[in-house]
Amino acid sequence: MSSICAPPSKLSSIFLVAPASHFCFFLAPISNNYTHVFDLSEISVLNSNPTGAAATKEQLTEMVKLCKERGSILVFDAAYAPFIRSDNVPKSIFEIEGAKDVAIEVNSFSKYAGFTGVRLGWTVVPAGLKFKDGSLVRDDFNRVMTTAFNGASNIVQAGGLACLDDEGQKEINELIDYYLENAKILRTTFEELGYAVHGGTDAPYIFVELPESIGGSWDAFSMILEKSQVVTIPGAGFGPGGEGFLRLSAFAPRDSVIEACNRLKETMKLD
Amino acid sequence: MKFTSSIVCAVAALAASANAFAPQGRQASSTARFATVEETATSQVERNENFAKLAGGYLFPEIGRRRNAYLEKNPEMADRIISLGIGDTTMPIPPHILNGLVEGAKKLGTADGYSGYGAEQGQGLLREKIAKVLYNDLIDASEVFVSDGAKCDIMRVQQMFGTKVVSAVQDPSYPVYVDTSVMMGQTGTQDEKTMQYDNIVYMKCGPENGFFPDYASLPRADVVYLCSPK
Repeated sequence: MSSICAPPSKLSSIFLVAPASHFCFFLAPISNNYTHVFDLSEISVLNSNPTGAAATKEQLTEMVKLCKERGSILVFDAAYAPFIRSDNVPKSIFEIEGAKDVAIEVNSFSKYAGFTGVRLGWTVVPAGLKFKDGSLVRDDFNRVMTTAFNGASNIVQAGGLACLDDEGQKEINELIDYYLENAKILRTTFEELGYAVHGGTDAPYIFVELPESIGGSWDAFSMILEKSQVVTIPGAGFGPGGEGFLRLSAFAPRDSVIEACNRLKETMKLD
Repeated sequence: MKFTSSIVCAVAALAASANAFAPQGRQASSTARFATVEETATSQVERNENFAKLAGGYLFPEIGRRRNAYLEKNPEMADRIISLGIGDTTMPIPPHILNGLVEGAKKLGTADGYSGYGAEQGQGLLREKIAKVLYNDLIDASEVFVSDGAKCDIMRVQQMFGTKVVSAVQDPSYPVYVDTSVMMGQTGTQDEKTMQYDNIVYMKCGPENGFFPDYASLPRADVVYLCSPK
């Protein structure tokens, strides 16, 4: 995991003078030099947000502002919103001022109510969001939905309605509490073993930093599978930036989580 | 496993005859497709070049494949496997919500309650409730499109944006944003060294930036995918 740090001002002088993406992306022929553009994507500027995997109101406000300035559309995936319990972590991008000018939000009942197999989700496209030519994004999205989709199952939509009344909301909260407790158990296990752990609060996943001695994240995945029969996800599976991390999900039944932690305490012991 | 492989053999033998694709159970017919893949004639249809750019399989099936490969070698471990991999829920659907589903199904068996095709955007009442209960009316029901899930909607959003946009993704992130961008033809090929696709803006997220991307220091993208919490 190489992460080059440079002062932001230097970056701006190189890139932001170029008018939008046309310079970097569309018209530039793919050449050897081209890859240099992407080296910069490894540059990250330090900040001190400690929350890990859930973005704060300040961070999202800044992102919305930036997208507006740069004319980008933000597609916000809020599928894990119900896991948010911290005050300063918005559950929807539309809690951010100005978001309706730049953002689309996709979401799902999968993790709310165990609908991973039932299948029910939704997307919010603000009425005023426009493309460069002034046409409405919502009109085109409506065209996709009416042409290539026939509506969600009527049975499933009845289930969705039950999710949204008081009793359904209560049941959802209890389910989420259960998974969050799993996340806490996982997080504590790895912290006590001496690993740096991210996530697991306001989120049903933990991200564990792997020591270099363990090899790559796919090596760690194989080692854990072979030694403790626990299936994890290697960080590299989520993109090159995930190398050096291991992701664990909190969605297993409690007994399994506890059993997995007992085994991992042996397998993942640090010297 | 033995059961499946005997089906493969049987179907492979059948495939030699002209009746290979006679109707069978779902399992058998899908097995038949794979079993005979090398024996069928090549069509004259060019492969969508964008699909050729995709590296490996989709992540989660790949995890499953490796798990199964391990179990084939160590069948005695089958009962010991615990999955903390894909974020798949395991707890049963709670009673009130389940009842909603059951009643929804029952209605279809009555003359009054039956419904056929519905609005493609979702039932009006559900759209209203989503806007009200989950968004405190920050959005309007007419802005809600009900669907079969977020992953499917990400592809629909991509279809709407088309081939010429540049997408930015958090790195690491849910693989669907990148893979759908590649399928749509927005990207170049994957660099063997960096493992990044040309023409996607990778927004590095790590402990050093609190896993939140520093979009300001990166090239502009048309569409920025952001997942939180992730």
